[in-house]
Formats: sequence, C-alpha cells, structure tokens
Amino acid sequence: MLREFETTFILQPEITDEGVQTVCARVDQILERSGAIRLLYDDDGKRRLAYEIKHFQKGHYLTVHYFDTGKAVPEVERALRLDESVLRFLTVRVADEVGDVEERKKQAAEEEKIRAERAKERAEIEAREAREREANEALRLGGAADEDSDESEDEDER
Amino acid sequence: MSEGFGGGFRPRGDRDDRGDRGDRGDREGGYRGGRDRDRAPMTAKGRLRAKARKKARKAAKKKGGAFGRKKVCRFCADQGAKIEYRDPKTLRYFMTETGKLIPSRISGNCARHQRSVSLAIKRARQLALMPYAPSHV
Repeated sequence: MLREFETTFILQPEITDEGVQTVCARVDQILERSGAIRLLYDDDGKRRLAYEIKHFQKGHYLTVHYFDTGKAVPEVERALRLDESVLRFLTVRVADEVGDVEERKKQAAEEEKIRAERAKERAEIEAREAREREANEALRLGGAADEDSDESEDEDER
Repeated sequence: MSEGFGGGFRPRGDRDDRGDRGDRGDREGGYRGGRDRDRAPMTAKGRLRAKARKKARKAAKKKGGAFGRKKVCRFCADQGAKIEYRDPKTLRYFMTETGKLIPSRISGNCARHQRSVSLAIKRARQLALMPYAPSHV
C-alpha cells in the first residue's frame, strides 16, 4: 500500500548551498534504491529556532515529500541521523492511501515550481539583508572615530 | 420513595429501576443496539445523570449571558482552517506564554480538533518551531 510521507529536517545554518545539495542528493539516492517515489523538496530557508540546538540559534529547514510503502522511512532516517549537519528530523505520514499517484505527481511538480520561486525570492532577500548587515558593520567599524560628528549632523537636519 | 426520586418521572415498569424483566415476551434477549431501539429501562445511575443534565441545562438558561458564553470550536466554525504543525502562528493561539497547551475547556475546541491541535503542537516542538518552555526563566 502506497502512503505519502514527509520528512522535515533541520540543517546547520552555516551550511553552503552545495552542502544542502549533497544532503538532498543522498536522500534521493536512498529513496530511489528502496523504491520510493520522490515528490518534491520544500526549502523553507533559514528560520529562527524556538530553542537552541547544538548551540545554533537558526536552522535551515528542508522538507521532502515522497510515496512509500514504509521501507524507505527507516533508511532515510538512518542517513539523516548519521549526517552531522542535520540537527533534527521528523517524519510524518501525510496520507494513508494514495488514490491517484500520477495526479498527485503532477500536483507536486506544480507545487515545486511555486516553491522554488518563493525560495529564490527569499534567498535574494536574505542575501540583501546579509549585504546590508555587512555594510552596516563596516560603517560602524570605519565610522567609530567620527561618530560624534555624524550624530550632530543628524540633529541639524531635524 | 420512588415518587420523590424521579421528580415526576416514572419508569416504565412497576418495579422501579430494575425494570420489568419478567413480562417482556417481545424482547427476545440480547442487546438491540442502534438508534431505533426501544427505550432501555433506565438504571438508577442513568436517571441521576439525566436529572443532573436537566438541571445543568436549566441553570445555563437562567444565567444566560451573565456567565460563560457558549464557546465554539474555531476549526468547526471555519472548515477551511487546517491544523498544521508547520504553522506555528495559528498554533501559538492554543499555547500559553509559558509554552503549555491550553485545555479545550478554555480554548473551546471540540475534542477532535483539540486532539489534532495538541498533536500538531507536539510535532512543532520537536522541530523547534515552537518552544517547550519560555526562552529565559
């Protein structure tokens, strides 16, 4: 009986894009080997954790959806447990029985497109924020000497 | 004694709560479940409970709006709303600031939805989407 599962896992926030890719590739490989059908990846990007895990305040959230009879689940979980960049994972059974596999696949493909776009937007925003942060930092470091003059200027403007 | 007990209510048989088992030729033994079974002979406890329910109903009517309004389950009222563990924003509503689950007695959730809310919160906690405890005490 085919069931739909989703496994969410949290990666270290410092992971590079390639690192994410390798983890995904490994999961893909396992799914393929145990005869599961992968539907889509859902990249939630970096989010603040509600509590620290291994002293990390943030985490990179990824979710993979797949059809399986239940064989692939322990395999995937084992791989995630062994991977040091994975902070946490959770597998949830989404649907007990999948009626129309092809239909669901199509749906998933469309969903993935939307998700990918959203992820791209988010990545851009993140990148911009990072740049701004860096710029601010540089300003603070560089402008520490003439900070007083800056402030007085501001007051004049008002 | 039997008069005071039921408050005007008379059991069908003449033998009070034990019912009239002897003369029921038409009931061919066994439990006939389902909605349309005949009214089963009430037990003493059942009668007490019925009385309590009636009293509670009456009291609720009398008090009216003065005390608690009737709470409605949010998820029953809004069929479109889904309970998802990835959605900490809605789930936060069912959690205290100290990170405890809010009982359905207070939130007004129906039993079914309360179950799914609590499950969702527990899942969200595992994924660090929601806290187990306040971040600093």
